[in-house]
Amino acid sequence: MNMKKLFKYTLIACYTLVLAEVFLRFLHPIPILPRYVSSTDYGIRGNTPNVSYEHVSPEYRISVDINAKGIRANEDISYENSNLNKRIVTLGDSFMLGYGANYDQTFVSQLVENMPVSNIEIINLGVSGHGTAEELIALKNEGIKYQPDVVLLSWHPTDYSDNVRSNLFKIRNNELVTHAETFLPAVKVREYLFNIKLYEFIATNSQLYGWLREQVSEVAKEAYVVVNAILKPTHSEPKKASKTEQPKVDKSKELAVLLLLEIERVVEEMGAKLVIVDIPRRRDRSLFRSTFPQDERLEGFTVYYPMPDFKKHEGEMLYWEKSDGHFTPLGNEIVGAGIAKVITSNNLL
Amino acid sequence: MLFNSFEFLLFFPVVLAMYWAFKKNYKIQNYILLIASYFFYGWWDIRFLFLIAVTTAVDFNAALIVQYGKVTLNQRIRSISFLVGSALLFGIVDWKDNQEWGVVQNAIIVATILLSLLIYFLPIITKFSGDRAKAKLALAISIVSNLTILGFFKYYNFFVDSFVEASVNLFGIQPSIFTLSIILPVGISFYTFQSMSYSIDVYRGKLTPSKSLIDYAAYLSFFPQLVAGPIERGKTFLPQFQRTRHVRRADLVEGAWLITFGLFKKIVIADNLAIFVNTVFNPYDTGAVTTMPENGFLVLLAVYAFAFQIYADFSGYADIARGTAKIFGFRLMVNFKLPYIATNPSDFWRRWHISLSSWLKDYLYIPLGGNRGSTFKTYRNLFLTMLLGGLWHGASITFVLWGAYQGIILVLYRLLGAESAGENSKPFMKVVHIIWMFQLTCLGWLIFRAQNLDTILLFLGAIFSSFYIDPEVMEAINTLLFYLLPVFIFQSLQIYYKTLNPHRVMSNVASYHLWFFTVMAILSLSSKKSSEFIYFAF
Repeated sequence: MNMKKLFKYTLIACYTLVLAEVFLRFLHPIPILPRYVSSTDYGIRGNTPNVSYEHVSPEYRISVDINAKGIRANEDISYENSNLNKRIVTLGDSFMLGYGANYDQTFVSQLVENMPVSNIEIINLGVSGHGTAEELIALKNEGIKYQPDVVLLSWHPTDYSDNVRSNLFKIRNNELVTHAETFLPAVKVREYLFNIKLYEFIATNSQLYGWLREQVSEVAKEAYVVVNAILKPTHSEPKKASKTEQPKVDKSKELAVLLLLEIERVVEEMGAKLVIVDIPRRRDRSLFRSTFPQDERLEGFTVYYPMPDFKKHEGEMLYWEKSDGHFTPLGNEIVGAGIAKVITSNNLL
Repeated sequence: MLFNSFEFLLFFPVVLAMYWAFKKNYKIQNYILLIASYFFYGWWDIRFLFLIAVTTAVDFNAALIVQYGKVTLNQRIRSISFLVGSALLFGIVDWKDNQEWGVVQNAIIVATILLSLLIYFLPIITKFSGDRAKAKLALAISIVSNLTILGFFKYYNFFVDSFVEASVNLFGIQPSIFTLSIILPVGISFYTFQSMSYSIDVYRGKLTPSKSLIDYAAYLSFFPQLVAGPIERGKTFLPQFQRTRHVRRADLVEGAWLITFGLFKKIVIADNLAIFVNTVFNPYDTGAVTTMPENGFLVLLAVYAFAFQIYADFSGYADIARGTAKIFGFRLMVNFKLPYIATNPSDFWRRWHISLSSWLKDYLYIPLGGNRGSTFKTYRNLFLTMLLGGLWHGASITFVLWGAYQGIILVLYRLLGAESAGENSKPFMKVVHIIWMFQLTCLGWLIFRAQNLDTILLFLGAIFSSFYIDPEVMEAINTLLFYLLPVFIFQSLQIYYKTLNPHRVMSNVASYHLWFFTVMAILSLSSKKSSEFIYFAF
């Protein structure tokens, strides 16, 4: 191929990319939701400290401020509780972090708004992508330092597979044992790429990039499910056993239960109370389903199930529908008020 | 197997590679096509391949008797072997571990034995008849066997239900006739019509029958058009199986374009419009709602949306079928020619599902007498043809009504002397005729889409009584405009360039942008709720 042809094809390729960007912006706007996660000292992902970024979708534009300790907050929070505030450490994934909402709209902020007392301080350790296993590590390594009165943990349907995929814990002789010291999927690559200014610009501004990333991620997830279904059929959300079938021990469920029990033990040990919020799986505007593990060992847990409150708002938009499926401000408001009610009625603070 | 499925994505290149490997030997290619087509159809339900095999064997022999008055022993043995082999593979082996399979197996064994005997002894039975009598008998066997298969699988329950209902209503007697849980074989209306037209054309002397069973079997089961047409004619399509096919580079480009554009119509336009259409119709389909819709405007928009959904769905399929066939070196007929710019009902039927309307004209309307008798007879023939055309779509009172409605508007236009209204009008009047004809077509689509009479009446009541704009209507208008704009643009290009394939005559730059838009739309705007092609059900 001579230089002239090479130049011509390069030009066509560049033009096609620009055209694709224009196409998506006008006809199929893609949410631009850059994730700023980096490695922590304790071997798992955390929010990149001291960054401010925007999430833009066809439905909303929100800003996220991360403080020096990797917490979504407008200011730094010291480990010492010098003002003697009531402290709530929150652990979870992007729902807990408050994707899809500005800081004061997130359900943790709404929780504070709905509490009868005013001296409540939130330490939001939510990180996009975290499962229960990483939440346990974050609690032991970071959350504990804030001496919380309450630990609020969010349960998300993907936690079953996230816990297995992270490989951080395993079950041996019916007990939870540490298996891997670190779980940093693609973090090093991401850190490296985000150091390149052009890449960072494209990642935070290009709809084509966002769309391609979404496609690749969907294909990778599907491939992961297919491969796992072939190799290890128990890695997904547990299935109900049919009436005629003997119930099988589901490893992903058992792992989730043991992780939750361990979190409860750690919380109790630090003299705090554990509250869990179950993030329902959404089918449509009126159909929600709980995926929190049903197990007699978890019967004493304080769990807030938002479904009855969501039912009162049937038909209203509680999750974003054209973006990333996180809570809308209304969804956050309902969940925040619901958690506040659970904390108050159980005298947890 | 669906064209818009992952399985087809694997199936297509594998078959194509094998097919191209034997490009100098069309006979081997026919074997490959036959096996591929049976595999394609069997992927949906292998059991019903036996029906295609029966149609193939019976019509192949019938056509030979019609033409030559005899079938050679070799041809008969091949036919019987084909039938028995099909019965063993698709009928005796219980691939799906079906609990009620035993009854079906027995029926298949009996049918195979009887048909094998019929095929073997048919030349002997007809030996003592005159040539014309032989031909008539053979044609009758062909038509009766096709209509029996079609009637049993498609209409048995409908007619039994209708008979019982009429008996109860008229005489207060409940006859003890039972209905059966019959599954409608995909594409049965298409391939039985194609096979019937073959026997009839041979009888009429318009076609020389195939002497090769494999050529005929490949012709009848050709996978691109097997399940939803076009209903091809033997005269133009069969010879393509009897010679070496040459695929030029231009055919490949053309085929690729037709497949891409067909997919665009199906998964971007039709499937996305279906979401809106179903939100309006489904509560009435399931009987969950039985009161008149609040806003007639929304209902009207849903009917308009359905008009474009069914067009994009069916013409999308036809495009994919034509494109796929082209890559294999075949030419299928054009099934749609901008139907919504029709100015009168006759014009519409020259543009919509052309292979069916021309079939109905040639094998029903003309044999009934066409327009050769009195005016009354012409109207009667028109009405009956459209009524049966409606019934062809499905065993349901709404399809019968739809056919009757099409017959009535055809007759009314003739009564008013307006059968070619708008065709030679000045542009403004032509547009008026087009808009009016579109409204008439949409009224037909309401009858077609509704699952029961109540829905039709409730929707019509809403359209003519409550009509207002609210946010839901605005959202529906946005959806409609968003998905219809590309259809309008492309059809404008077709009109501007005076060809159904404007990309052929466009400049490279314009053609590049057309390709880019279509591919990008498929990749990013495809509906996540993919559905089967509507005409698979017919």
